[in-house]
Amino acid sequence: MGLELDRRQVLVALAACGATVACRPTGPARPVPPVRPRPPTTLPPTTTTLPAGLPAGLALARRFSFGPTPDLVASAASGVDTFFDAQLDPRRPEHAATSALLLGIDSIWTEAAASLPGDDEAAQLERRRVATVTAASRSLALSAWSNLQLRQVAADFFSDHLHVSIAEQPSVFFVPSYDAQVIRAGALGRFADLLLASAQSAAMLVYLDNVSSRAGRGRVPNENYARELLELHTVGVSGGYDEADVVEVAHVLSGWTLDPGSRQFTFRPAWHDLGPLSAGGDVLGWRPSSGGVRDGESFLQHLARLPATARYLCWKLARRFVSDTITPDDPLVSDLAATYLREDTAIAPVLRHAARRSDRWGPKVRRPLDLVAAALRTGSPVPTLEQFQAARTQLGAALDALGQVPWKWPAPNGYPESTGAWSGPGAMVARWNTASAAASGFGGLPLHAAPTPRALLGHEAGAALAAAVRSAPSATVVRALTFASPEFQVR
Amino acid sequence: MSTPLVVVFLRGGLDGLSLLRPPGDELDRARGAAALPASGALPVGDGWSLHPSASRLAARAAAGRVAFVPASGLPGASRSHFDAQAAVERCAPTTESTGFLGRALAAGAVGSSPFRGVAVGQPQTPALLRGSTDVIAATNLSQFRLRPGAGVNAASMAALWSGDRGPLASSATGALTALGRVAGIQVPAGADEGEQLVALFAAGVGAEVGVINVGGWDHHNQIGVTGGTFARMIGELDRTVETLVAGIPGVTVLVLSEFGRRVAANDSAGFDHGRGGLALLVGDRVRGGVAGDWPGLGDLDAGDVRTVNDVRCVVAEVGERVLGVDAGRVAPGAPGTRLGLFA
Repeated sequence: MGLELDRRQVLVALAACGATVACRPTGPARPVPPVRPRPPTTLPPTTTTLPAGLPAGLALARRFSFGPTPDLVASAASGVDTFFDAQLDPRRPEHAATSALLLGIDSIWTEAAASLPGDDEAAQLERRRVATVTAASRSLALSAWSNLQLRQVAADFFSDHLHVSIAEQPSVFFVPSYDAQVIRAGALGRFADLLLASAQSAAMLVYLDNVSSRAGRGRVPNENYARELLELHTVGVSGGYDEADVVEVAHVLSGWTLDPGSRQFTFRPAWHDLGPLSAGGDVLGWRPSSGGVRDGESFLQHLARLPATARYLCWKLARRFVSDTITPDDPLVSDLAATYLREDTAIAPVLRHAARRSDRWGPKVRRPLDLVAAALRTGSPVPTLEQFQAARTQLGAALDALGQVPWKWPAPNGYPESTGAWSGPGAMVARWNTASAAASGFGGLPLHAAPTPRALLGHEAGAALAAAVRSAPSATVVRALTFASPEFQVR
Repeated sequence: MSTPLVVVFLRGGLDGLSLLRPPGDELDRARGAAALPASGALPVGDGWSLHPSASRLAARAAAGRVAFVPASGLPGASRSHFDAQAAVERCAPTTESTGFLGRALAAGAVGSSPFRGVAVGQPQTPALLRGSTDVIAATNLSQFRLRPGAGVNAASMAALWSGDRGPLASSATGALTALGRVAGIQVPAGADEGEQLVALFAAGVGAEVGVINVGGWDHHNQIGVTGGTFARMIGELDRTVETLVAGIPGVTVLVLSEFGRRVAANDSAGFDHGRGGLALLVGDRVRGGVAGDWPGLGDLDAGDVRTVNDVRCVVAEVGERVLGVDAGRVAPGAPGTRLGLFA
């Protein structure tokens, strides 16, 4: 079956995309509050390990958001539960300006796909470009300016954990809706639900080839998704499966494909065959019973609840939110995994548990998306669509040089986590150049006036930055030095 | 005595059988219509032939400057991309956290240049280069300089970072050192990765090894051996290798991937993860031809080409003959066998 999308199919995919704004724009306009100088607190030391004497709530707000604005710090200062309850409140409104921006970003994709004539190579290329830009732009804009920061940091994690790359065609066309409807919508729900939504999404079905997986009558199913489902999404490579299990899982999920008209998930019985499991036996402790698509669904539910999945997923969450150096056998990982299983795979309680264990937090370097989003979040009010578009070229160039255009990592394992992957001289030069560009609003964004290191960092500058800023001739230089400083690189 | 080396790592698992066709008709018997056709394939000796999109490589092979190592890999390798890539990049027991190029560099003149090992295409340092401090990874070498902008310059960054002891302290020091020497690297606008490395080696800044990562070789679906995706990617690989060999005097280019692909196609017109793969070595000092043993397609390992040529022996020989480093440093634990890859 041909997998190149023609224009009609893109339109159908878009129609199915529906509400592409990640969250309800119901609330009153709540722009990011202006940053007010406060009396200095204790100066942090010049190392970028967690400094002592930070303002109350800063560490929590910084680790569980893309940038510690005063409202977040104030909420976090009241404690982990206050912060989490506020973030998880279903009535918590999105900023109206952010919703408007997202609507604009998504409509560019909708309109481009609808108005580009023809199915020739040029039209296909242009659609691809717009889909790529849309997927990256909505990630960046929500990371920077969403009022629902806990949802965005969780979504960032799952955009790697359940990764689909915009570097590949035709999966790129489905990533804007995957970002909105699967990842951001499900990032704070149950992992079992998120896993199923991902497995049945057009983006994942196309990216890891399950869309064409046919078994039975001598046909060999496609192993790509089955293998990564086990290795990357659930039990992990040491999760106790073998090559025969991969083949069995590929059979369980054979016939999981897309309807060629609607491009929505469909199950094709004629493509499905349980293969080795038809003769009895189990795979990872699961046995088929219901038949057809129910078997695959019940297998995914089983997989999400396996202790090996709990441990692997919670270890990865701990590496993101606790420390680079935490190992899978750490007692904290066991605690997180126990929470995960007790809460029936709910993700938010695991994050809350990790947030309570600040005694275990190690230094975390901001990955490039963290870095750029933090500069936008602390340095710029929510832009209009026109302002965002004006900045887009420089924003894209910065993220590209830094090596983390959202959704662009070329392999299904997602962007790497540890500091080692994001350091080195090349990375450092890219960080400094990004600071320069951010200081001028990337050529288009509005900027808060009279910036201070404290407003951008959430705490007072260290000695070197304070000295440099003292002789800074302009607000632009203050921003540039702060964004380029050691303090700004950590979260 | 070190001569230039560039490693091109094909991420995803190169289908060696669609790039290099074994003699006779065993490929047609094993793969049927999915096989790289004999007609149009470019002969490289002893009955072996290359994909028609690799015409420049075929010309180098005709001149006796390409060694092909089919059925190569690590014994007992994982079918996981990420485990298998890590194992090849390590070429050492799992207790080792460094890469074979990083160890080779560390065995030489440490600290003489920050550009001794350079990876282009992304700013993440590939595992291959771990173990050396004289390494730079950049998305594009033309961007490895401070863009003019208010406040950010080498002096201000030195002032901000010199007292830092945090996780990026050595990155900052390395960046400032390298920026002081970068002026001579003339990277043309729009240069691709091969051209960036050509510019790097021409600049005389102490480059010894280069790395290019090429993603997208995980062809589970619609591989397109003739006139499709695979054919296009082979054409691009062919061009990159030629750019490097023609542009860097005395260079040896080593092309590696994490594993080969299954012999039989799946029902998506693609090939799933396999075992024995194909490694290539190109350069003026290379002894041309197909090296190592060929187990044939009649005796498979659970549907895959048997891994009979240990890639650690390839890496060991490259370390000895190209970089002048003891095999025990480059590929500790490798068997003593040598495939005779150099003239």
